[in-house]
Amino acid sequence: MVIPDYYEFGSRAHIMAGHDALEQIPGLLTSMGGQHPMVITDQGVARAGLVDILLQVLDSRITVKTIQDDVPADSDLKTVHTLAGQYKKYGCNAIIALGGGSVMDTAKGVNILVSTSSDNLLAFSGANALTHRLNPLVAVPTTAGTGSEVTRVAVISDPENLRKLLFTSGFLMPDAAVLDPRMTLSLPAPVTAATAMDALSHAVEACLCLGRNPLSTAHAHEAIALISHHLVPVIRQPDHKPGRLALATGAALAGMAFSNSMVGMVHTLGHAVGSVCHAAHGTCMAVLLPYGMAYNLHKTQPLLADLLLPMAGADVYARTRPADRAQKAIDWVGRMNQRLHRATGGFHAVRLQDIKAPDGRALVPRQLLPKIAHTALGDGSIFYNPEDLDYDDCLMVLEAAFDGAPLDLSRVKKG
Amino acid sequence: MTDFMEIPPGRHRWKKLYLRCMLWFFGRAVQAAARVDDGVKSEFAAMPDNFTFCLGAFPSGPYMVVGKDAHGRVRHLGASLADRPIHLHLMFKSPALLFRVFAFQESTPVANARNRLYVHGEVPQACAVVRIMDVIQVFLLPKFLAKRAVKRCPAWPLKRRTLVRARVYVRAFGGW
Amino acid sequence: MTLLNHFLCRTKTAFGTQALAHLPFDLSGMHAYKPFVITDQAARDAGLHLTLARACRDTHLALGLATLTDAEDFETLYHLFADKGYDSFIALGTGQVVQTAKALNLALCHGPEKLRSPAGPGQINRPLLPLVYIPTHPETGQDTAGETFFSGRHFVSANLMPDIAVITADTMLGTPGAAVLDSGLASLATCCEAFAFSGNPFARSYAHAGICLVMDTLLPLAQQSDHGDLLCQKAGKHRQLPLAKLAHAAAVSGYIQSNLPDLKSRQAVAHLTAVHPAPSAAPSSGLCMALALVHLLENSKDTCPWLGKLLLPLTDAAHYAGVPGPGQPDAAVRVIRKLLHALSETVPQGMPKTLGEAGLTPGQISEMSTLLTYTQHKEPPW
Repeated sequence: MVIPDYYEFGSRAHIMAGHDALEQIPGLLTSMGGQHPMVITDQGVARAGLVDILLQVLDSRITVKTIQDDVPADSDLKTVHTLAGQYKKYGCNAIIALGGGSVMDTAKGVNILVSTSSDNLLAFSGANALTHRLNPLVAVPTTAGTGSEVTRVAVISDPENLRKLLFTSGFLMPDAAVLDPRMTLSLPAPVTAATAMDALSHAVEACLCLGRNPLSTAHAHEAIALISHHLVPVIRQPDHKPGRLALATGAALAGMAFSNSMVGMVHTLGHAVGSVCHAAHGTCMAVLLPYGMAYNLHKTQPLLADLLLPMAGADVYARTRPADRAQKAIDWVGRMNQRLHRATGGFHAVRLQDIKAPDGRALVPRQLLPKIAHTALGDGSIFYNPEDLDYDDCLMVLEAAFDGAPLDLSRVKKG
Repeated sequence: MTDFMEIPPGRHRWKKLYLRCMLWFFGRAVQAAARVDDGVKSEFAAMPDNFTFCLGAFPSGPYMVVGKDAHGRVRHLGASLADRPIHLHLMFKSPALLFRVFAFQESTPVANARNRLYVHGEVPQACAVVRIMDVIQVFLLPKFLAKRAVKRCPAWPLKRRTLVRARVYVRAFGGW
Repeated sequence: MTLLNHFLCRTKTAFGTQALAHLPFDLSGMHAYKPFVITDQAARDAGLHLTLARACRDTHLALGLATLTDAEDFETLYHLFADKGYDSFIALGTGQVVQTAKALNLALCHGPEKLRSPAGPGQINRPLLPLVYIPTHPETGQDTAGETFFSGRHFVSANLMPDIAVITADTMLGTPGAAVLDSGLASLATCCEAFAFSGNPFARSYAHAGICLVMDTLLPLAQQSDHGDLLCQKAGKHRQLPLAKLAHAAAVSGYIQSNLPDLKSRQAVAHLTAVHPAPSAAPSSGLCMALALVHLLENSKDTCPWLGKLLLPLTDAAHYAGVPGPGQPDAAVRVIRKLLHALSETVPQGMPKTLGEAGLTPGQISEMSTLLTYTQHKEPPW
């Protein structure tokens, strides 16, 4: 076991995972003194009937003061301030965040404002600006997922100034993360695939990046095994509750892992693609994951080799020569993307050029790759990547991912 | 009976003195490189005028402050945070942890990965400042030390490795 | 009600070189600027309080330092803390030090009468003052668990878990071989049982890391001569890091204990001591747990599908993948037996490697078999 010279690991959210996990919420809120919650969600979740499922399990101990379902796809300052006003107006004392990453980030931002009685969210941006515990926040993810239910980070955009604000603090972590398969049963196949691959990318990068440590690696390996084993079966049988719970658990474990060890170039490039082209986060991660693994191969070979076991199982691992295991892990991810592409009827993208809007329009044109590469240089995750990346390196990887061609490893500059 | 005593906060004078000297020279080297190196020039060009950043240690220094004035000229502004707005803080969590980097016991990327420092300010600007710092370290340090300080030693052309480096050193000592 | 997995660990673990240098910043993040340090005489004699003070240099952090000498100190400490306006705790030591800190924290936040009231669930339902725990020996996990003992009363709450556990080679004291074995075996048993039987993926992840830490360090530590190690001195240079890793494993086992309070290997300790022909000569709690673990694994092989996967953290990926599935449970038991044999050879007076060698009769072992069997395994819900 290789232990880094120094590391930290913490995950303070109370995690509840099970087929009846939602039923724990009334007790959780009561114990935290949060019997008058505001529910923050988005319209997609509301239309799917998930808010109704939640309300059914909230017994007489809990009085939901208001349901706010207007959270946009990207959390922004204006929405946060508006919802904070609603929280105070209705006399709420807790938040239930029911949704994906954007809902979670919005809820965390709202919680900052209502717990500090501040009107200025900007004052809390950056690291460790909060100094005391916030009001109760229960996170109920409806994707599997971003892992935001167990992270201490919120990303909130400031569209007026064309920037994204990062908030980092241990106090931002939700008090509880409730993982219930009923929340993801109706998730369409392409979204299931993309969000699960997002979670997989969290887990893989947590194992490879400079911040890796034994605890995050253990969580990540468990996550990889769960996602690898259950993703395709769930795509084929969407109402399989045990499989949905496995994916939700895997996403939470991956969130715990990367929250402590950070992520690397897959997220560096993926964030940039998402920001420039407005492509879905999980889809970008899925496409770029094998390329990020290949780029870092020369620095992380033994670590990549270790990933083959949770990904492909003991038989494949034992049959593969030790020198080949790392490449096999990379190939496995590529093949997973192919399998998902077939299983989703072509919706799951394998190349950047395949990423499409709902109307079929290609979202990532080749001529935007230089702009994406330039944008990537401003993403903080770049510094956690095992190998350095400059503009040319980013462009090289993006071009390969665009074409679906293997990365030319001879062009990777080695540090 | 309980044995009770109060231990006042101590000071590590020599380490702080060393850090002050290193940060002073480093700041002047940043100023120098901003005048003579195209790579550093282009990083600063992307920053707004009057942008100021500091590198230092929690809770009260030492610090290095560098800023761009209203005419886009980059200057080393000394070691004080007072009397000026700082747009970006790169702060190590204690002087001891800052010392580890400036004594070459730990590289900047490794220190970052080990949660030794935190950032207040905009992330893209922080990324640019870290790249600038990497370039300065490669200019100032012999190769065997530079390899330990940065993630990947760049393959610079001869002119940048020799002439530009010499100009950075001379200007850093001279302060212009 | 179907199976629900839950996990709560309030403690951030900080491990490694210069871990103490992060402390002033971390304390400020918890709005704590005036910590009250509780330590013991051994740590004091070894100068660890100065190690802590050096880490706080140039950070304006003044430390109040109290050295525990006897139980009557509690009231004195209470008044010292309250009267001088401290706002957080640093427990520098193990065992009594951290239990005292937890009890003090409870008394200061809920009132001293809390310590006299019956302990029950839900009694401590709000966070206490910040508590940082810096171990000086590897322990058996109670230090980081959400529990404390005071005047014969047992208090249980996740809010009793430390906020931060700072584990570093810099604060490791000389640890006799017996204590090393006790800690390592206790951590191993707790983590193995959680990994094999809990069906809880969050507990399994922590357990995986804990098992790896023990397997990496316990035997080499036991094989080193510790004649130079004195309790009141820092551990020898070559032992500091392995002891820190073992302390890390113990911390992890504490997190697991807080979430899985019904571990059979822990229950077996009291039972084994009670039935032992000479209770004062009963094996240490860690050894009891390890011996119980072997029986647990052997008795539960048929009912527990996860058992074979235990081979992975006990060995490595290559070894695990090389053993066919049906053979993995036996292989895992063999690894533990082999470890116990090897450890026994490091103990001059020998060490029991089975419950029989520990002094139990076959009849007594057979009676314990109900306790030492998982008849209904907790399968993960997928």
